[in-house]
Amino acid sequence: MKTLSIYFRYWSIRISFLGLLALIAFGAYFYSVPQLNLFNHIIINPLYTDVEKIPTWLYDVDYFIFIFTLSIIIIFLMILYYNANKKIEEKIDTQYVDGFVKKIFLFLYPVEEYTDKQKKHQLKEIKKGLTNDHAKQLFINLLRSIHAQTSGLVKHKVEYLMKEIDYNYFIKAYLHSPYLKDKLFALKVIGDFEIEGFEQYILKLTKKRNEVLHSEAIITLLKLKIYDNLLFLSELNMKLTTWDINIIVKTIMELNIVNIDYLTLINSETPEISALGIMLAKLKTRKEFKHDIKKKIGDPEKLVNEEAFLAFCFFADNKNDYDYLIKNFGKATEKSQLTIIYKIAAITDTELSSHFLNYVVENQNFVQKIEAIKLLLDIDLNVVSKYKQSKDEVVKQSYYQVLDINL
Amino acid sequence: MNNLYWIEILNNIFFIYACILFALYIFNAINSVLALRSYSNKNKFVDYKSILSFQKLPTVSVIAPAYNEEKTIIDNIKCLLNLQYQNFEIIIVNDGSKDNTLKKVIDYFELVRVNRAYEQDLTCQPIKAIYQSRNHAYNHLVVIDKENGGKADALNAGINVSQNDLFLAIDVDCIIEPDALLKMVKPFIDDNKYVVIASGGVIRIANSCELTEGKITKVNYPKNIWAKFQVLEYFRAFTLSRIAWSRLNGLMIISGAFGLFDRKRVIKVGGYDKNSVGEDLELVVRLRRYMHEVEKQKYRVAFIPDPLCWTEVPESYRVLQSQRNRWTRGAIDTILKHRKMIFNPKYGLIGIASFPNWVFFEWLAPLIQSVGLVYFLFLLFFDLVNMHTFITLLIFVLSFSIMYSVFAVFFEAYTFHKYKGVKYLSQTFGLIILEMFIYQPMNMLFSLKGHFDFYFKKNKKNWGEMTRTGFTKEKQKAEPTISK
Repeated sequence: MKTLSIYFRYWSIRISFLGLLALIAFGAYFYSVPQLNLFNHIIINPLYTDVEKIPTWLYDVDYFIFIFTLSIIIIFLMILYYNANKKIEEKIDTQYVDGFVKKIFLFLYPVEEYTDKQKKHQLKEIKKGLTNDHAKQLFINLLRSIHAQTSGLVKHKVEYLMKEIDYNYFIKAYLHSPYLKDKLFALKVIGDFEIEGFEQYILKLTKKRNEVLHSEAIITLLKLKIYDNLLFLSELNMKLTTWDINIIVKTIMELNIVNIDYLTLINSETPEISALGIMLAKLKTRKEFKHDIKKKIGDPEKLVNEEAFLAFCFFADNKNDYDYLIKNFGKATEKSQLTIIYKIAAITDTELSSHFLNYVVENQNFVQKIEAIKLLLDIDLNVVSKYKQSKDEVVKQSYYQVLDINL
Repeated sequence: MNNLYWIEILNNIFFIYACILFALYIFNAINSVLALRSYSNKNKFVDYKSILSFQKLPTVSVIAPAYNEEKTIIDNIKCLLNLQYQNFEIIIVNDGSKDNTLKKVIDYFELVRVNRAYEQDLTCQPIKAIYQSRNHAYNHLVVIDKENGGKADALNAGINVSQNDLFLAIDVDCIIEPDALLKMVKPFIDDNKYVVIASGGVIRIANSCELTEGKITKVNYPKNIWAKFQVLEYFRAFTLSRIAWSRLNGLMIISGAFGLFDRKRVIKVGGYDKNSVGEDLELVVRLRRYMHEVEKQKYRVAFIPDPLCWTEVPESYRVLQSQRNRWTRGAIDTILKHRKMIFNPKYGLIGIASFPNWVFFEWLAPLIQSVGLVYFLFLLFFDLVNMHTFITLLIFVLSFSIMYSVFAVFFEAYTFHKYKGVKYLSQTFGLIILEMFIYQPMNMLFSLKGHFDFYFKKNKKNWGEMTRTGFTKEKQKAEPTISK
């Protein structure tokens, strides 16, 4: 029923708008003819005696003047309405939120534990204020923010409260709403309160072309922890954005999801999924995937190549790994080259690291030169001092920057 | 008979020009409504603060050239220090100020001269010194002292010293919303179909606004009439025009006061053009041209409809004239420099629509308007004007202009609602009428003067005059400053 009413609103706005355009077109036609026969009713154009005296093309100009004048009045009234409405809305929102906060806190932090009867009474009191969709949304958003900021007993109570007010019908209607903002709201609530029963539909939403919707659907599924091996991601068959990758990583780390199928992700044919798998393996310190990650070094996809280098650098712990990194240094992106520089500088084989850092100072870009000189300072001060006399102006500049005590 | 034939042809040319212009306005309005609706739906629940904890994020340098800004520089830098971002630095470029700008900054932020290395990727006037703070609270502040070379030159110096992925070019006197960087960076990381080469944002007018510790604390409607006119003008330009062109990926300009760019690409195209007074427009056009001619990748210039930057606008006739004159010269310069793009399908929508739009409705508009006016007087003199038709068309134009401006005001009220109150509304409606008879003809004259200066004056690269009056709570008596 709720879904129907949302669809009714959605279509009635669109149909009214089309009706208005049709009315304007009809008006333009009616204005230019003396009379009109409509279903056997003759409608006389009272302005025709004036209209027929002017050139034909001026009909339309006259008519547009009428439309513009009417539009000015309507838009003006709409500005007044919106101004007044926003003021009232702000006032009502404050009233609602104040009222809800009081009632919610009475429920969450009772002086003495409530009996079942008292609980029911409290719930009834809370529900009293929830008379329209706007109030319900405000109430749920308030619960969401309390839920996010609290843990333990209060978190359970918030979840209990959400369950007890029984707004699944409301959430379901919003999830199936044609409005994007409604869908996003529903997904947020489902994810935050781990409301079950919508997984299949949300899975469909992950394949939507709308990037905001599919991104939010992925996050919701992660929060529901049903597909926590993340295999649904490799079945998406669509490019993830850097935003998606970041937000997925952030959610996984916050929720501490552990059942990830790293291997499938790393070996995914979709570069973004593969990069995500590599990033997660690194962040979760899953060293057992080091060799699978190593295979991805030199991948034609820049993102995969970069993440593979970063992760392999993180896991590298023996001479073979270091040699491999140095050998493939040229294949790395600038960002991963910097990480390799830090890694090699930190190893115990100072001869190898000194040799490598000197190579960087002499051959790489100036950001890397500066970092290499900085790192060389800890290894061999004498080697660094030779750069003071360097013929390469950038090397000399880098040397002075590194030795500047104010930096 | 022969003369009447030519008059008929001229009439038709003017009529068709006007019809295309009106159609374009309506098209822009519809487009911006759709763009803004889509933007607000998509971003309603976005938690921008979450960007602060992202793993993969471009690094950003904020580059702000300063020339004789001693009255406001400390507050301006404080405002920039309020910006929220994970990994960014603020580069203030003192462009050879003749006042105490540099000294004030050095003293207040405890700066010391450092040996910071940089590559001379772009040509610019010599850098005299680079300063950084001893105080850890300001460790992401860098101040460059260089010889005077103008705004574009200062920005190029800032780009050379910067080592980050993106740079935000701003006017140092602008007030930037603390979350502006987060919002501006988002298009660079949430698009998998296009390479984003730059993003711009809406600029709002800060005259009469109240400011505390570098933040706008109260948005006031300007008291000065010229500023009030510009509020209306900015509503139309940003809310109805730039958003619309951005939706079509046809945006040609990112305001020089506030724009985020891909640093490496800007270096590849040679940075800001020091010889142009419209360096902001010129850079975007050159970047677009580069993407079509060299990289040949799908790309876009993003635009954020949120009001993220507040700037002071001219409050006097003289300064306003100077600013508009410069804008006109900058536009002509850019159009002539990149004229091969006009109606050239090789450049996609830019070549087919955006560039011709600039040519016919920005560059040539004041000329066509003046020719039209002279032509009308000529017809009137020879009694060739049908007064009924003239009055009807005049009412048509006036009613359309009023409707368009009223719609822009409505759009602001509906979306961002920064200005409130009956007084504001009544004043705005009065100004909408007044604007058509005072401000718009005046702008046309400024623009004509710009044309004249560009074609006939020697010093066509002159920046003109700009004064700062400061903000309500921290108002200081600023002396006029003349930028090179």
